[in-house]
Amino acid sequence: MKKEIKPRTIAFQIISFMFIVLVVLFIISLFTTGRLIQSLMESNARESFGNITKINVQTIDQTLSKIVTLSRNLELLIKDKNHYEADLNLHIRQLLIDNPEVVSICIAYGSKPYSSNNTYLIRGENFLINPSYSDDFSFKDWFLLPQLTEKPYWSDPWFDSDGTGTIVCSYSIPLFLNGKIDGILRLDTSMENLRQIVSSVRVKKTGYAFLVSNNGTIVAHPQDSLAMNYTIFDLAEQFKSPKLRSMGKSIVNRESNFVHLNKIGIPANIWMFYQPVPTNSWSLATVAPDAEVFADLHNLMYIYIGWVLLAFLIIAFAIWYRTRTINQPLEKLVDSIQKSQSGVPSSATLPISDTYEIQVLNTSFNRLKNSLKKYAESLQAVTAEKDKIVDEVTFASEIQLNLIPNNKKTYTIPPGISAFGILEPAGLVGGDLYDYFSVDEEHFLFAIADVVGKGVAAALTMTMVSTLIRTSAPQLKQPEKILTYMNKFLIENNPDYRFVTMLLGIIDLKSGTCTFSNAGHTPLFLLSEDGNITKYARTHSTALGILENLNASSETIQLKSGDEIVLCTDGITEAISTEDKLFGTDRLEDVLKNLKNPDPESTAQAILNAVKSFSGPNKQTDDITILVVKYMNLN
Amino acid sequence: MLLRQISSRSHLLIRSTITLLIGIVLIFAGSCFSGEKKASATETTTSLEEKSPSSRHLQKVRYTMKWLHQAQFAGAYMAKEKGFFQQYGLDVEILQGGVDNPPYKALSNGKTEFCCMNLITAVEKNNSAFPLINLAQISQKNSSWLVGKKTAGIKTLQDLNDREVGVWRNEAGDHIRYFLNDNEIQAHIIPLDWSINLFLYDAIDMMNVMSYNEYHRILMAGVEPEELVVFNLSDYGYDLVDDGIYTSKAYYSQHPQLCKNFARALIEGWIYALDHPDETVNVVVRYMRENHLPANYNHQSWMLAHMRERILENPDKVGYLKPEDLILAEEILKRNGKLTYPVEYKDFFLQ
Repeated sequence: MKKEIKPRTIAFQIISFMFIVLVVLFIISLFTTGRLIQSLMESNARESFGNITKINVQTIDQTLSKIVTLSRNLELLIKDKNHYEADLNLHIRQLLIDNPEVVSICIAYGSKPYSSNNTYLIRGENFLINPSYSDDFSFKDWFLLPQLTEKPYWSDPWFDSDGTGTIVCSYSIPLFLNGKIDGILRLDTSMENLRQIVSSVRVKKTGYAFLVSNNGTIVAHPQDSLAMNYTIFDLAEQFKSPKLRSMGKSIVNRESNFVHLNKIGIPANIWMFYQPVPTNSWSLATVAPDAEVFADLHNLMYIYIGWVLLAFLIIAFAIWYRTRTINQPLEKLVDSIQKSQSGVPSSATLPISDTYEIQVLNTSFNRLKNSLKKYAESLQAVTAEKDKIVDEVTFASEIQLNLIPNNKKTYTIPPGISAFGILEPAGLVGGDLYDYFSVDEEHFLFAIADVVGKGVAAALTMTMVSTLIRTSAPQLKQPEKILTYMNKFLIENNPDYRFVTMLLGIIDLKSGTCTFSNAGHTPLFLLSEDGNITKYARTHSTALGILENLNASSETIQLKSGDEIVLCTDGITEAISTEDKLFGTDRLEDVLKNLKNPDPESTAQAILNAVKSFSGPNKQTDDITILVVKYMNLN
Repeated sequence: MLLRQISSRSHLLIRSTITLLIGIVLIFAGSCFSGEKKASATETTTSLEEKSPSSRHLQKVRYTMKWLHQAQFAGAYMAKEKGFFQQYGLDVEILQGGVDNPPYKALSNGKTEFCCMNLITAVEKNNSAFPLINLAQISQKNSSWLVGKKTAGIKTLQDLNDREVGVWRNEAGDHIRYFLNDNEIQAHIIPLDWSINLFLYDAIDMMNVMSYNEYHRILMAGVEPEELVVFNLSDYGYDLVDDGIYTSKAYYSQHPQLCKNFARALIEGWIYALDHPDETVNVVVRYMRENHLPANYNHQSWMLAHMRERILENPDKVGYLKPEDLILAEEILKRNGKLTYPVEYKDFFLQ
């Protein structure tokens, strides 16, 4: 089943089409420009993160490198055999005062009693020298690592209970005596100083920095629960992020990079730049969430989307307004036509428009309107003429009907004869005819005829024929002569060459003979009182009005009392059923066979009923004429 | 306020006097009657110390762990947290061990009633003057490994000769020293604290680790397992079980039911901890933070998961010390000349 398409206005169609086009263009544009801007912003973020990281790495490194320099100076002083212990203490005191980055100093000798190992620090205004209370120090990283590796060592942050009692980060260098390690010199800086540098870093809105030691331990982080508790690899394991672990290795390997990490807690997606601190190989990492790194991009995209929506609304409004302006004349025209009961009202005009198509339509419409007006006028005249003709034809029809015998007027029929005729024209007037009348006291004429064609012309021809029969019969008295005369008249006075089929007979009332002549008409049926049916199909001439020299003959039959002469036109025999079958003469004979005690009227009605029943609801296409004449021998 | 303090002190004095009198009576009775009578005395004590509702007066005891707060001792935290100790009439104070407070020292000095020690440490420290009782053998598998980097070129134990091997100082690393000695390894032993940095910075070639602790810390410093060479002591006949719960025989003799209750509550704590790892790790981390220790959920979760394997080695016999484990510890000590007080299994482990 074909789906009915709901009609849409032009504005709706244009706007929805424009919307689809704009959406497609917008998506393509958003994708391409978005990618370009994202790439640009990534590059900017790398630079921006890099700068922030580098500046803070330098700040941290300045502190650490200063400690390295101070440790070398102090190492030289300690190695100098000429100094006194008091001088060393004074020097250390001054060093601690002049360099607040150094919060304590320790000189430890593995070979000496632990009480001879001292930690130097300033508390308030006091210079303190704390001796060790146990040999625990000899198991600490700051002591063991430089001792075993014979290299300087930057420790992880640790709690110095012998010194400041705070968390410090230490730089230890081995002290050599005669080529062998004699002890360790350790300078401590407060982890709090480094933590403050790190915590002061701000990246974007909520971004931050954190410090990672060279074994991956997070040593300073704005989130206290992470600092000194987790390594970067712990987080990788917790977040199940191989990428984070790989990044951790890159940090531990002292590399620098700008990376994007997905799904690593809250916020889930971050950007990170990391760079090692040259002096101690720790790394500083700066972090900011995706949303903040691309905040400008997102804002730009929101503005872009906003502009596109606004542009679409403006375009949609403009299209709607413009199509409405264009449509208005059409809508008014349609309204006025719809309000009009019929046709195009003369008031229906398209307003003047600057649209080319509307102007063309206007011109065409005016032309159409004028031609319609002319047509309507012409139609009106024709209709009036037609009505007049119809009136006249109706009148002619009445006259025609008056020409044929009225079955009720039996005074024109001689005794012993009864007749009944039926004429049902297909139109207002018909081309069929039946007639019967007494030619004189001894002769009774009956005739049935069919003019080729239908309508007024056929009716007039038939009127002419009817008149001719009536006028010529008293003189000529013989059927063949009457037909010959009529043929001659028709040839001479029938410019349209309308031929006529006719069967005309005269009954001699005295002898009971019937002489008839058939000019191309349907057969005559003789229905005896005993039920016998005789069919007289022979024609005695061609139809009338065709051949100039017509040699008509006739045929005489002896009637018995009670015989019925049954005549009909081809409207009976050629009646068509709904199955496209002809009624034919056989069916007609069947009708006649089944008649019980027939008389002319019942016979004629029976034939008519049988034909109508046969034709069914089919419209009558030809005139139907039946004439039945019954002879009774009164002698 | 002052009156209340005086009143409280008077109460304590009265209660102490009554307890002392009951004790004297019991000791007198014990010395007068036969072994059977002693049993009845024990039963009397037991009846007083059986599992009881928490509303009853709780017996204060101390439990010193082998090391600092971590998931290795989760059973004790959860027994306290979930009220298992209280249900057995105990009010347990959990104390950190480690270098600053070695558990055996704490036990022998009377600073704790119960402690956690390695089996071999307990057997070595055991002596006739102060015999020990194993109340429960918590860990039933060896956890000691020696770990080195493949880059150091060590493939077999023999490669450790003349190499630097980090071993925990004091009793925590004694069994490693015996292991190297038994395998005739002449390595330079570097005594260590808990740090793994010497290993990470290649200052030593190998170090001893606990499979549930330091090994994971090494991995969490960015080292991949495939970069490491591991010698599991179990593979070399040193399938020494470690964490066990100990008390002195003297204390056990005085409070047998209390000791049994302590062990039962602790095991119940462990079962709960292993069944509720997330809740347990939260409690562990809380203990660590309260004691200013580096607290790491990830690491503690890992440790608890590995403790599970050790504790549930034989799920039907949680806390059971196998006789062969005691024999192995004694043999090792004997070989190394450290076995001073051989004991019968039945006298050492509380069945």
